[in-house]
Amino acid sequence: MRRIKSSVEVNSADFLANQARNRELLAEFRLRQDDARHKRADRDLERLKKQKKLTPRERIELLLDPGTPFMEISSLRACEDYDGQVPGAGVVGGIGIVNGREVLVHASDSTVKAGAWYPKSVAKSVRLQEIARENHLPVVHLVDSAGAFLPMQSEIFPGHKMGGHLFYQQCKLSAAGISQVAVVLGHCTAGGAYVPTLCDYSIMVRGTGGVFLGGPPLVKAATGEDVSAEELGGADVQCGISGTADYAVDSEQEGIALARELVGTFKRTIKADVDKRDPEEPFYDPKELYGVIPKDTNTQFDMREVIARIVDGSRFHEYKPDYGTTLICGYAFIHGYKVGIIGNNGVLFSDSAQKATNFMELCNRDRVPLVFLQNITGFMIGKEYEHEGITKHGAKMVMTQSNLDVPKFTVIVNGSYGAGNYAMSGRAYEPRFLFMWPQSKISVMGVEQAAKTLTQIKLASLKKQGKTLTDEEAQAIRDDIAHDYEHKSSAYYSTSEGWDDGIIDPADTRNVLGMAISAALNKDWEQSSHGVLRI
Amino acid sequence: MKREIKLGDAFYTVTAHRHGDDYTAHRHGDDYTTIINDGEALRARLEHIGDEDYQVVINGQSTPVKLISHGEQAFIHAFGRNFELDVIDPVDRAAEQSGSSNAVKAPMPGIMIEVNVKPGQQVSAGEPLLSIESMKIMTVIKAWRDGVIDSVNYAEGDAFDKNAVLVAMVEEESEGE
Repeated sequence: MRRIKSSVEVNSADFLANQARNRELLAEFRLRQDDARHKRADRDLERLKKQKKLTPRERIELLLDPGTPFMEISSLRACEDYDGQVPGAGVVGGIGIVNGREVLVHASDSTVKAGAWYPKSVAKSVRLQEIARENHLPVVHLVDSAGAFLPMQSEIFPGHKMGGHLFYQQCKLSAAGISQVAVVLGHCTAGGAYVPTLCDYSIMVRGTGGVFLGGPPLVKAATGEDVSAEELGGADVQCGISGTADYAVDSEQEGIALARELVGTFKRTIKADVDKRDPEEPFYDPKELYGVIPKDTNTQFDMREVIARIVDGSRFHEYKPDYGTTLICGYAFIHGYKVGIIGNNGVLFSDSAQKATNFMELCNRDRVPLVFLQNITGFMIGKEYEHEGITKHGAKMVMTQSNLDVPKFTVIVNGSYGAGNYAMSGRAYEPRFLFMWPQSKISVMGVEQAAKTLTQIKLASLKKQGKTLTDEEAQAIRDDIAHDYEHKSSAYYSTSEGWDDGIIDPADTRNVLGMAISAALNKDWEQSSHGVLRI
Repeated sequence: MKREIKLGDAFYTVTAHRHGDDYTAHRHGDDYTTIINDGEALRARLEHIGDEDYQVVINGQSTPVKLISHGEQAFIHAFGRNFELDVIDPVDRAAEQSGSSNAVKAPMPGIMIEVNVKPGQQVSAGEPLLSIESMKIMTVIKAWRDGVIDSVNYAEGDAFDKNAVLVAMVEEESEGE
């Protein structure tokens, strides 16, 4: 495979200006992520210390094999909601290595509102379980949650992917042959009691761990019975008397060590058979991506320069390079795994959509996982393009992409607009993982067009009511609309809402994809067989 | 495995066969005869001593070599001389001969945002010539080679259609006249 020849000049004024801007955005991201992970009120940390509890990140560190990476999912979930008071949505999750096995870690964050479930906490937990199911990963639950945040119960309790879905998914994971172990590090009350109980193995810490359908205050109120938490559903009761849990331990450290031992007994999965070779570092430094990505999101750049800084040896075989040139398709290796890459180099035309469809069919037949690199304003519009059938060609791309058997991975590297987001495997198309770069924008159309349209509608309705506006008032309305729209198009809003699995440092893209592909291969797939059409 | 290499300013075609740790190198059709005799396959062994230090063994005679490789390029110090070696990519080689176009055509309808050059102006490869905007994306068109601007067909603010010729350079052969 040939090496991409970069034409980026690392000393040019453009490169340096881009780099300065993108490093600034990266620093902002790092700061926000660091705060979401570690910045807590002293009283919350002291309360944990008094209870002899560890923080969720200390627990995870004890759980994972020393020196192995932890791929955190959605570290900034809920960052634009609840006044920023529920960092990470009160849940820490990701993929790590335990006793040599890739596992999904699902931990309550008891440093945030005593681990209470907000609507976005539940949604994040549901997504983590989905990751476990889609990629056949064993789950370790580190349970320490106060339960549902009552004032918001209507957004947590009964809907399809709300609270109840957590337990439903645990049952489905079990039936799919995916092992689950819980370490109970706090009180699991009511529905929460099912989390450890629906696991294959449940470990409880004496003194702090408790499992009960109704806690002591509820029992007292309902029946008048006076009972301590430990007597009602403590570790010795549930492990020794009821058999609801399996192992009673004296400390969190002991419980987590036991969980490690248990994971070590799980059957190792045989990974899906894909083309592999020895990994090789990219020839071009991934940190050069900061200078490759334009400081203005509306400026075009060559996606090959991005590919060169993600793939092994910067080597890339480009498929059909002279056809449908606004879309780059081709083969490369990432961390030694062969992948098909589809990246935008402009607007999608009929020919680029057809090329993508053809390429996806080839990859699917040959068991080559697909990586989508999104920088897309949408499909080309206008009479000429409608007459040549751009809508049906786009539909082919969406159809084939939706029905791929091979795992797919999406990175939004810059803009993600309109139907382009769909065709390029946006969140709704269930890629195994989807990550975003900090400067990215995501919305149904660009901010300028949207603000113009929305302002016109608003002004028209005001006019109907007989109100006349000065130019300044009209401009102020436009500015408000644009500001709100811009905010809701940002990577932070996206990650807060869970439209992605996290914002990542562009220079980490290669490693994140490598880990994601490796995790995804824990689940093999059925191969549908039909010939590849030259469309 | 047949490869074209560039050593200094000269191009050579070399065939390398692997025999365990050894390579047999065979050079084709030229009369340069310092290391390898024309048509005669010589067995050469390159031994790695450490870092960039190697020794090459030819016909039982060993010579120290320093070799630093960077992508498809290698810098070699041997036999008291410095060599710069490039491995030529066969696909690039074939593409080179197809020649490049003298004009840039619009990939889609759009608007001219900025014109940085005038006809008759000398430009060097990579220099920004124009900025265009289509479907809300701004694209900077840069000089694809050194040359002289022949024509710029749209002014700032003008709209153009797909395949419109935006900028052209004077044909390479005629520039010297």
